[in-house]
Amino acid sequence: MGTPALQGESRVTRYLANRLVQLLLVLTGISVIVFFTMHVLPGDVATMLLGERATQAQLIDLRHQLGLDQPVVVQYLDFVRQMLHGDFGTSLRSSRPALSDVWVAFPVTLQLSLASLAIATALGVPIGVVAATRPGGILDNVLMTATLFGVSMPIFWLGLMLLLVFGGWLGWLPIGGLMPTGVDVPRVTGMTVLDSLLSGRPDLFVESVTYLILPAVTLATVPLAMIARITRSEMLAMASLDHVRTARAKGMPERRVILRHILRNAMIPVITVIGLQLGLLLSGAVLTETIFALPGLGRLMVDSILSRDYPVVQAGALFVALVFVVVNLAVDLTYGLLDPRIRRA
Amino acid sequence: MSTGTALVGAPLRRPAGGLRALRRTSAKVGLALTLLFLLIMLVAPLVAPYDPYDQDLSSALSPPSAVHWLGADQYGRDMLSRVIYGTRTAFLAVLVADGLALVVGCAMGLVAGFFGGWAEAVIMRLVDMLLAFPYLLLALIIVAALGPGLTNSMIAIGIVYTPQYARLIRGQVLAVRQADYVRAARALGASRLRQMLRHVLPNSFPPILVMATLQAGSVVVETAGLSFLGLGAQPPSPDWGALLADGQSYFLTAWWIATFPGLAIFLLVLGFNLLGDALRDHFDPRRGA
Amino acid sequence: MSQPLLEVRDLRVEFAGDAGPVEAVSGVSFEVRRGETLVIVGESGSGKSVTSLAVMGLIPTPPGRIAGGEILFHARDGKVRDLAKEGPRALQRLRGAEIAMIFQEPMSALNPVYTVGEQIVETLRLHEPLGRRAARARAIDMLEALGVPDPGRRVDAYPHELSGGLRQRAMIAMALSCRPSLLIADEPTTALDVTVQAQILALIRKLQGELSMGVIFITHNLGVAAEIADRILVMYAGQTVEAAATRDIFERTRMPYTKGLLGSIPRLGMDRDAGPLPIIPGSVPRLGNLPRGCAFHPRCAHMRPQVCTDRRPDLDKVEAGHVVRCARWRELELT
Repeated sequence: MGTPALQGESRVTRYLANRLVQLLLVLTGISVIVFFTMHVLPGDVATMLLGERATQAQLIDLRHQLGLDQPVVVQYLDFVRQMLHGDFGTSLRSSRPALSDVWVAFPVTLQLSLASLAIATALGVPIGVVAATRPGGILDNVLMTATLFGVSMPIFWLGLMLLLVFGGWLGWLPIGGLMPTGVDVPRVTGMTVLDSLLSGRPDLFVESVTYLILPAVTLATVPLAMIARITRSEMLAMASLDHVRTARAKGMPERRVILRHILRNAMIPVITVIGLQLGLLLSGAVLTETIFALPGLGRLMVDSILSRDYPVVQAGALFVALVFVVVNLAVDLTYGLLDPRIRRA
Repeated sequence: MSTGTALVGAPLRRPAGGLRALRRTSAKVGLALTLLFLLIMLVAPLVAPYDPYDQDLSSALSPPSAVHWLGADQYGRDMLSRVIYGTRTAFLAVLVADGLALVVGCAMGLVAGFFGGWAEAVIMRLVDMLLAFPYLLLALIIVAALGPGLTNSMIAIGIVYTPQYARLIRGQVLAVRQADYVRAARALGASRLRQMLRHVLPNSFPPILVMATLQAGSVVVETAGLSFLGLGAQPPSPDWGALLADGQSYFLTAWWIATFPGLAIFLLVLGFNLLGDALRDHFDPRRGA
Repeated sequence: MSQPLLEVRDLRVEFAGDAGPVEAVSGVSFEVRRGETLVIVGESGSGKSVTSLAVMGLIPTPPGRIAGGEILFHARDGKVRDLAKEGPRALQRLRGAEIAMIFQEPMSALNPVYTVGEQIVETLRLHEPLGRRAARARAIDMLEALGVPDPGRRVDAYPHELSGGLRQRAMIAMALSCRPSLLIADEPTTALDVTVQAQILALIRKLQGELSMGVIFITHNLGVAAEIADRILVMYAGQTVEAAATRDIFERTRMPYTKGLLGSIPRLGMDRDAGPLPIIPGSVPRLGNLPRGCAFHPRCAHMRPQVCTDRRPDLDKVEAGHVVRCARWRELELT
């Protein structure tokens, strides 16, 4: 074993350096993909901007202005240079910097995703545990069938149905939006639930939560089902390990064996899956945002695509991709913290 | 999981006996759902009571009744007929997107696995890159580049699913390449291409079939999702996602417009997923419970 | 003689198989007294580990179950309990407190996400009304008693941070922390290298004396058995094929299978160039597919058709305390 501490540190450093290089590679790749799909593939930005009736001279002029007559590589490097300066161009719709539009929309998506993930975890893990306690039992069958329904659910449909029942027919919950019209929460983080608390307005807090419930539940469906299934299968995998037999040999009650020696070990991979869901939620909330009329990042992207507001599409795509990659990296690093074999080794 | 107790006279039970029975049932349900929708698609003109595009403003927004079993939309078009014709877009999406992903992905995987070297390096880096991308975002970017529309949305989703097939097939090739009979074939001087097709494809068939079936469900949801966002099929075509988008505007007054297309998506996806799960258990029982 | 601790009578354990239940242990009987070490010897698949799990009440159910027999345990409260019939609660109270078990692979038998101290403390607090601090102090004492150097620091080590020998010591510390009267050791030294093996065996012997424990020691290695056993029970295909006091097993062997096992013990000073150790040809038959007659006959050098192949031999008494299951034991000259 030698000097584990010293060896460990250098190993961790090397691992981190490795992951950072990987991160840079992925980001470069993503920027290439975004750049090429936006700039090079079909269509001509100049034609798009000026319309079909522009004269040839106007087109050439604009292409020159935009640097579109430069070689592709030069264009790409230009694009990267501007990006590194935080310059993603100006929104064609709002005339604000594209990045600031993205920045305004992001907290809406973040709040929605975090709430969904909380719901999915709070329900998914116990469901998986209960199902794994008696594999093949009635409860296991019922729960696992339910999760299969969950993963098969088109959430845009589920969202509408929930809206119809709880917003329309029962009238218990609002039918969309972030807050009632005319009510504004002082903006601090951009997340209404948090901001209403930060500005000391419990009434607004309650309001913002009621507006969050349906979209969060809708978006939580698929990750909930996934988390339940993963928890169940990890629990079953752990249950057959030797240390569980040891725990029973100590005379430990079955319930504690399940919680301390099966669930605790199973949580390491499960937490990874939960973390990876966050990246997917952040990048996949667009359908939910559309149904519930939430001005989030996904909705911004789709609206920008429909109105051909390419700077915003580009900024949004890179931003979401960056968040996705960073979240996943963070999840990977957390894995090391949770597993003592990696933490100390 | 054992209970850690062994009681004399405890009944002997086959492990997970109940689960096996359920698996059989769910496989049947999955197959039945998929075949039912396939049949509906094939005989759509025969079973649809109306032309899906026929407007009849006098019955606009009429609720489900004997005349319009699933009601009518804002232009008085028969929802049942529109949902029935929607099966066509759904299966077309499966054929185009899942098919595109399968063919291109398998080709990439075969090339990477067999030739190795720089071909493999380039292909697999590309695959990793695409997999590192959140899939919905990737689809959005591709649609943004190609422009909204049904064909483009199907291509976009096809591209999104390509890397998974590539990875799967490359793994299969690497595994099969080690197997004795491929080495024997090489010793006999069989050409490399022949080896690929003769040995790898049949062995890779089960996992590809499982993946294609499970992906088919995702493809149906996602094309419908893109259409729902206005990026896929455009009105007035009877695509389930587009129908749902229509229904969204009227969901408080005419709930049936959104409800039935969504139910159709759910049932078809459920069918594909049940079938895919059953196939996976069949080919690889260890991966089950 | 000292008082009996465990009496197992006609134990049968069966597992559900694809073609109906299969008997993994069919009618095994033995007893263990306080301070005595019984070694159960057999190849893998002989039913020796299943027997020990049955005593612990740890047969995975389903697919397994105890199909018959008695496991009479003389508990501390003076009562004799049939572990084959006790409910889960009663078994839980005995496990870890009065009957403890150590396993072959200390790496996988210890939970990788808890420190060894946490795992010892856990056992202590399950059975004794101890506070966290007191339990931790006891855990350190136990590690020290087991010869773990620097126990105050090692108590906070995770299993993967210890060497194989220390890990097994920690495992034993955990098993013995509540001073059980019966210890079951399932091949506890197999995964260790030879010098460590010897240390661990010596340690078990020493602690056995101090605690006057009964020990059931499971191994496939008669050499190990010779070092530690008072009595040896040889199992084959779920049955006892020979059982006797250690000296008799070695010097008055009656069963060809035992003889075969004796032949495969490596000895110091053996000529390396003499070729590989003689091993018994063939392999243990699959349960549920046992040969007719004596289960060992397909591998036996002394096999006689009909005599050995027609009916299963009975377990005969050779002399007091020595039994053998062989149709030809009276005529064979094995020693």
